Amino acid sequence: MRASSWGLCATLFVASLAPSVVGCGSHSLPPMNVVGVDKSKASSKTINYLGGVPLRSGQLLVTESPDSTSFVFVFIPEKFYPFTHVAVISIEDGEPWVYDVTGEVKTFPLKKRLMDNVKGKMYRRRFYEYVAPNLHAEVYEPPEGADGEKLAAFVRQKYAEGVEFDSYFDPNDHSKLFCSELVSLAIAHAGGKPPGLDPSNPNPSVVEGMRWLGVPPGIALPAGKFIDEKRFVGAFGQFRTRTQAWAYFEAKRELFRRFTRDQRLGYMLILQSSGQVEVRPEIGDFVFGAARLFKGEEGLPPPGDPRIEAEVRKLADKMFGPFPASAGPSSPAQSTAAAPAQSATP
Amino acid sequence: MAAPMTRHLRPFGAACALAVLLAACVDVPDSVRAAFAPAAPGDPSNYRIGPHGTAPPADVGTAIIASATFDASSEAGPAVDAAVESIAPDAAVEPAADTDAAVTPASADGEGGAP
Repeated sequence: MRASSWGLCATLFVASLAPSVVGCGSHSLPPMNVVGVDKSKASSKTINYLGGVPLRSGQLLVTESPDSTSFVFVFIPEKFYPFTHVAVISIEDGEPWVYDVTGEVKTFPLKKRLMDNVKGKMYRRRFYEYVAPNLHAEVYEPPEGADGEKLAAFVRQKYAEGVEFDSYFDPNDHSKLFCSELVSLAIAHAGGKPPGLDPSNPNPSVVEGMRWLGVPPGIALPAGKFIDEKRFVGAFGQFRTRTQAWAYFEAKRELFRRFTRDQRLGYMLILQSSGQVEVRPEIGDFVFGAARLFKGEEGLPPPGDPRIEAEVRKLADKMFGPFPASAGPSSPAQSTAAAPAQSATP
Repeated sequence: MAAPMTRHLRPFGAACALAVLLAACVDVPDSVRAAFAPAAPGDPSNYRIGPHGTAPPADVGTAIIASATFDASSEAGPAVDAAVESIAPDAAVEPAADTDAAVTPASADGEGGAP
């Protein structure tokens, strides 16, 4: 079986949003809240963005798509990871720009296989334009050892070269790239150590779905592998607080935890005859209900605080029935891999 | 079927509508449809809504996660209040088929298999 990888880029299906923003002319962007900042990351190399978020070249930007695709991607890796897409920040003439590679649906000719209808390229977009359509976004410093200027220069070079999007997610062929493959290469070029690949989910329904897409089950490189709370810089998006955002992620983690080998994607998702995937109403109610558990702006538990997990699990038990705390498709150590350190505050 | 997509993509113009038309042309084999089949009453779903997970599946239609249409003025936060929209609001959830069923989860050992 050919090794392949899912970059979990958020724009593969027809419900994709970000490429549409670029390609469809006039539109209005939703308001974007700044819901977290670590001002200690400020330095002579940073600019103050939106009143104090210290941005600099080479920082990594992870985003969570607002559409149903994010509920597909979460089940592709063998472990849970938040976020659906990763990109790189470049400061040019004092302004923050975002470079990423992503796919979109082609127009003609039409192909029977879904992924044959997907093509893409690298994009360069203003930070606000890029981030605002997303549900949530967070900025992280580049990994230890990676030079931010070199990291940004790498993605600018790939943009200049006109690199195409790899709709079949092959991490071994760098002639085309997917989002996390691009960032991994950029980190390595800049002297850092990129995160390794993960196994993909052995759940039979996930394997079947990947086979349908033409992506053999094998390995995955989720966007969430690039985050580390120690490197957190700032958070933006549609939620009122970072705690709400991480309660949303915790709910998705709970969905993942319950996704044991005998479960199938259809228990949570609806595949329309068009090939479009949608989220079942009760699943959407659960994840956004979880965010709603944490109102206000004072005294909220920070991301990674066990109170978030406890409250979200309580909600899940109420809605879907009890589920043992120790159960899940992966070990306890794996299931908490993506939770940020508790020392951080939103 | 196209209704939620139309709403979803309305601000983004004709190019996106074209993408919806494209979606109608992909080939979805039966094996994939089976992977996405909803939970039947006897299936070991860990996502079955209802008292202690014993109600039949809430197969009441479809939902879509909204995009750029959040209500920023909502009390609990825009994404929280407005991000899920059902396109079948008049559909009803069927009553529980067996409310006396066990309250244990459908599957908890991570190895799969029906209870």
